[in-house]
Amino acid sequence: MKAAATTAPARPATGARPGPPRPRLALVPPMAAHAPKAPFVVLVAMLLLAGLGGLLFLHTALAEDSFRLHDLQVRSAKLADREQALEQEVSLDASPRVLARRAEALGMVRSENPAFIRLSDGRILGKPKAGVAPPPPTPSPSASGSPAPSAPAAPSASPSPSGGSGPTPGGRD
Amino acid sequence: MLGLLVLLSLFAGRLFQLQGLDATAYADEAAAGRLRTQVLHAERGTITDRNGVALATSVDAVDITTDQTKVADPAAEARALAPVLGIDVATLQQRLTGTRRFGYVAKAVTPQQWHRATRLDLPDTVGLPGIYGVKTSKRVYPGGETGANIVGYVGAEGNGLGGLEYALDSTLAGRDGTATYELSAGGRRIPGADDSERDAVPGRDVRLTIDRDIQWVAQQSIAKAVKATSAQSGTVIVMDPHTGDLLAMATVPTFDANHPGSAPAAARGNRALTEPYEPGSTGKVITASALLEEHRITPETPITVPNRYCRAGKCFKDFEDHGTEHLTYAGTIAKSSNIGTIKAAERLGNLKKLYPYLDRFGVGHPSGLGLPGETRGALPKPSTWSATSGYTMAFGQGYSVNTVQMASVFATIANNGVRVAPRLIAGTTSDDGTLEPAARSASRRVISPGTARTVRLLLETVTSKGGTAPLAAVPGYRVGGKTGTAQRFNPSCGCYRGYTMSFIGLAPVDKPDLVVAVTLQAPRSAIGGGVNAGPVFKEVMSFALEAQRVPPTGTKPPGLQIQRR
Repeated sequence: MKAAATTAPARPATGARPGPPRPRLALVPPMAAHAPKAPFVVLVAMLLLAGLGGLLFLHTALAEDSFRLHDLQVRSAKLADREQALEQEVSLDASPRVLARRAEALGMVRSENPAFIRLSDGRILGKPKAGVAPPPPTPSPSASGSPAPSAPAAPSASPSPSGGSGPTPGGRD
Repeated sequence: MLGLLVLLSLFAGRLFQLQGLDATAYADEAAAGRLRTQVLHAERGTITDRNGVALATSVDAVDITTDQTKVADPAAEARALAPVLGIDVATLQQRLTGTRRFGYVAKAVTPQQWHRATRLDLPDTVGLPGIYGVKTSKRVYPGGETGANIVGYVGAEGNGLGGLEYALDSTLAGRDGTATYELSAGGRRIPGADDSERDAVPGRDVRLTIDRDIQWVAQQSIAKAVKATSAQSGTVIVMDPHTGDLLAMATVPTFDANHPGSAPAAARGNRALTEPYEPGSTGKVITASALLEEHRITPETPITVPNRYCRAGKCFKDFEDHGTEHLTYAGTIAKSSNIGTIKAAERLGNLKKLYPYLDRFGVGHPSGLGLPGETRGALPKPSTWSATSGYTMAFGQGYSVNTVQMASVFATIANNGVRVAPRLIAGTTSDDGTLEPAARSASRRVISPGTARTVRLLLETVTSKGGTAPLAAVPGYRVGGKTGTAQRFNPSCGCYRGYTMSFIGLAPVDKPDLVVAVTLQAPRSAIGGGVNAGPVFKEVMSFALEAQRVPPTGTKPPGLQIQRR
């Protein structure tokens, strides 16, 4: 009641304000056509589906890669093992022990004196001497046929130089 | 209606408890089930020779373990495994039978053997139940015995226990890393899941100064000589006098580094460093160096050598009795006369003047190679010398050395009087994998170049016709050296018993590039250093000259007079 009384005098004041004529207010007519909702829903659904599909694809791809990785790692490990085994075989075959044994089986002997050929004038440095085959420890049929022509297998079988062949001149040390 | 409400409330409560309150604990438990932490073993560095040939290397291996409670049929599984592992069926069956949850079936088999073992099936199972493989690594020594006493060996845990494997363990070992990741039930890594990795730091590779081929020849040769003379032990050292590089350091008896346990401890050390002995006549080169450096003698100085020579209440004799001989100083070296050396040494005035020379040549000082168990020998101080000490030291008795020290004395003479400390390690790989060469060895002038040249000419007479070691000569080359047949101090009786026979030499005399030292300890059937050690020297020196491509110099020896005219 009181409020109405206080606001009531304001109205005539507004109404009585002098000035340009007040524009006429009119209701805007409602929008004639509603945008169809279906395409939007479909769009969102499609996006959702595409997202899901993408995620699924990504996961599948990752999982597949994981499988591939595992298989490749297994293969790589196997190949590395094989490489290592072969390397060990090579290093064994290249060891002086095995090489010397094989060379001896072929009838080769160690050189007695080192000698060099100087390429500039073709001179031979040192006193080259054909190696002498040590006496075969036991007459084995396989060894008899093999001595190379370069190794005159002395049948006299002088024992190795360490056999004390020479007297000890002035052996007084 | 009310009942249903209560029930639903209960469900809701439980759901809240599971999802709200305990969720983290359950998630952690699940993660722990998938999480695996794996130790990434750091690969132990390889040890190679000077040309990069592996002397010690690590390879992958698998320990085969068993849970005996899961083994269904021990006999059948043993029969299946036996041919793959090369272990007999009875032993395997014993290892598979029982109630223990963990045990070793075979240690450090090759990955190939393990692959084959995993493909084995029993009639009613796929794979062998209760058999597992644990990845590990194995130290292999492709050379076996070659260089074993230098390289050393490792224990069951892969830690160095002998030789350089022990001395350089911290360099070779590296640091293990860890990998943590989640594993699916199928044993595959779950992509995108938590994982963390701390890489293993591999050990560094070490390159030695040793040449594997020379080492092998040296080892073969000394082994033959030790056998032929029934010696207690023998050593050969090949050295480059200019760099101090040890090209070979062979000792016998030795061991196979792949199976260190099957050799006695004494065979696993390095006798070239651990075994002190009195050098005997090879020590006369130090006396000769002192006399020539002090200008007290020349190779032609006449010296009369009686059969006995008495000084300070003791009568000295030579190795063999002889009539009074009229030699030059060169002749006393060529024939290795003790009396001749004493008479020459007396020209120093005071025999204690020998001490600084012995000291500067490295006698009594550690070699600096850093191998375990080295002896530095013993060089008594002049203040403690007895009346006869000076006389015996002049011909190499009364102080002790190891073979490396003695080889170094001759290397000093070969290197024109400059002593280059021996070294064994050429370099180590740095973090980026490149070879970091080791520091150059310390060098110090001991005698003048002129003195060194004259001493070498004296040494050349030893391998000539009238000398004590014509068997050490390498035809085509000028070779100098000195025989030694010393009385051997035996600590067990505190007396002299047996001999040390040695030959140490250099070639070519006018421009030496190689020094070879051969020592035979306590040979039972031997004649002398020249006869027994000389041929070993010749064989090793010949091979080393060839391998190091040292051609003969082609000069003629001056032919020093041995007998006085």
